[in-house]
Amino acid sequence: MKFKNKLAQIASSLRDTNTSRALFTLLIFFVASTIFVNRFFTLNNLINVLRQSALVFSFSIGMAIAMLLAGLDLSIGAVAAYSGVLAASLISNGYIVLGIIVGLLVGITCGLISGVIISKYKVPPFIMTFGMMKIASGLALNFTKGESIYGLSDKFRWIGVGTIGLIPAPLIICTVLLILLAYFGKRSVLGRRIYAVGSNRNAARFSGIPCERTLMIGYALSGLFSGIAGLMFVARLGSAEGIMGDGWPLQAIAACVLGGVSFAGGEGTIQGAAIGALCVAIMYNVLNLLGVSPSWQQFLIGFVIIFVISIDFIKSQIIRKKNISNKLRTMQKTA
Amino acid sequence: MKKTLFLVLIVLVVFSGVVFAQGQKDTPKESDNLHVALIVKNLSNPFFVYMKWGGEAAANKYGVDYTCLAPEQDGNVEAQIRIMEDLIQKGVDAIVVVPIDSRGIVAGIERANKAGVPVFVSNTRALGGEFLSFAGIDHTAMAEEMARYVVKSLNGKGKVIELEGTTGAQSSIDRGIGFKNVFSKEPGIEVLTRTTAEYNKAKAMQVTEDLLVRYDDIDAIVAYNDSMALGAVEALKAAGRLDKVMVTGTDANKDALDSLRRGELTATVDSNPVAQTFVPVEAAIRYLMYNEIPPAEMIVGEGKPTIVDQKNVEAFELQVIENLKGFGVTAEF
Repeated sequence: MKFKNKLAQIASSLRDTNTSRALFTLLIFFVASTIFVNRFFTLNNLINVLRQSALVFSFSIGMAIAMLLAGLDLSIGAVAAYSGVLAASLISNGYIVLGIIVGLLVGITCGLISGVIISKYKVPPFIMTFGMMKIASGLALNFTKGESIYGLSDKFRWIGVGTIGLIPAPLIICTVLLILLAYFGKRSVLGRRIYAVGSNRNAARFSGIPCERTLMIGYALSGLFSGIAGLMFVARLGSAEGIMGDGWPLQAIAACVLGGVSFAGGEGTIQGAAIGALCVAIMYNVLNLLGVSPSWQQFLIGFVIIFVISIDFIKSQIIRKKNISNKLRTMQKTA
Repeated sequence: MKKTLFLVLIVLVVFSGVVFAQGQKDTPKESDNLHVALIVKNLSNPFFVYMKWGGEAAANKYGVDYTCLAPEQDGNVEAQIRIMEDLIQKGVDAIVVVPIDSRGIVAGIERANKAGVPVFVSNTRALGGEFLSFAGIDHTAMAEEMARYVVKSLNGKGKVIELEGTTGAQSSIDRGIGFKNVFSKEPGIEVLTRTTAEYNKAKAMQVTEDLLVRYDDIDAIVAYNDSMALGAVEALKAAGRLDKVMVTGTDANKDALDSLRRGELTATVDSNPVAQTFVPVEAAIRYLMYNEIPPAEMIVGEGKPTIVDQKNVEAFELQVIENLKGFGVTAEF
């Protein structure tokens, strides 16, 4: 009985049109890669792709929340770097638990600061998070003075390189996060408020939703997940560098867009972002397997994003036009 | 109440970084009226931090004031020009610069020329302007030496993958030439592929993971810098293939030396960042103090490039620390 309920829940989350569109995109990527790319559909490679997509997903969560709030969080990489280097300096001296706590706290704090300035002082998210990116990055680089912090205990590194059987640890951690977020996404009060504030701020305010608080918590969550991503990456690389997280915002936006999360706010799901992360990971993996040079990789990924968005846009225009012509026809019939 | 909480949060974030940070190294004890400045590409790569030390050592040797500045991580040559202008305004007596772009830096050098400030160039060439000397290393010779080490270690037979640096970077191009010169003459060595990881550790890890899927049989991964080599090491470790593949890097950075000590990285080669700035900064000081005209080209690091591998890493470190300590610079490894 409970199992049927769970299936129904999963089905209803997929009924969200954005997410099902994302699933369709993923299917095309996957099938095309299997057919055309040698060695794509091998056990080792698929595990690679899953692991890499889990990592991309980890830093896309924050961007997805910001986008659902009709905003953007450009600071995800830099905040992760700052969290990572502070945590690493403690962990390399033996304070594993304290290091993790500090890393997460720094992430939350940076996110909260962004959130407060965006909500209370009405600074556009793009500008505020861009500034936070520079600040966090500068603090991280200044702290490390250009060198990398290494010598991290193997126990801590498990979250980045460990496995249970064949399954990589980042994948396990991110799957757990995904299930929690997908479940609470639209079912929790906070989740519903985020969607409301994102899709129509004024309507939300008039319904009595505390918009400023929702924004603050949303960006604070983004910072928290950036901190988590930072810790995972540091564990994976075995060292923390001040320049970590460079290029994350772009990949995160790609993952969210491909996953059906809209810039306009209030549309899309965290599950969608996970699907988008898989798409991004497949793209990079395929390009590496084919030996495509990085400059072309950049070009192709940008091209794919624009292509997918355009298809979405054209489809929604066609649906709109069909609806309008249907309405006209029924009006004529009854006239 | 909310406002104070907010202020406390800001202070917490900024303070946490400042509290743990060590202070900037102070300028040397005595000072003539002379002030020499060094401009590097950034201070977020350990390589350029070592360059900073090299300049400082030279300045200490003569008791001269010393400043080392650089653009932020993703800064460009424009930022370097701005720094040059600021330094000229401040009244420095000589500038040593490591250009981000060989053509772009010319405007900055010309501005220094107009102000009568002597300019020295290090590591990356400048294609214009008047400067007293260029100090550089031979990237190609360095790569050739490393390539010969790899060939010897593999007994002349093996499959090799090359990890290149940032596309278009002169150092990457020159190192590629060096590897090609040696590998192409060895019939037993097969270069499976050359791909770039942009001198970046995380990118190298991702690229290596995918390369391990593409190729079942790899004997060596040769990286054009240490960051990429260490990324490859991590990927090999995770895949359980580190014992079957030798990994080499370039630069002899701190973390590479640590990896050598732990028996993970196989070898790296000293690119002598300290000498690359010590030599031109010293030349600048001697030009200012004694009017010594330097040669137009100074190739730093006489003799064979030093390969650092698991056997000689301790000795190498001690030597670097000793050399710097002699000039009052504390280098920590």
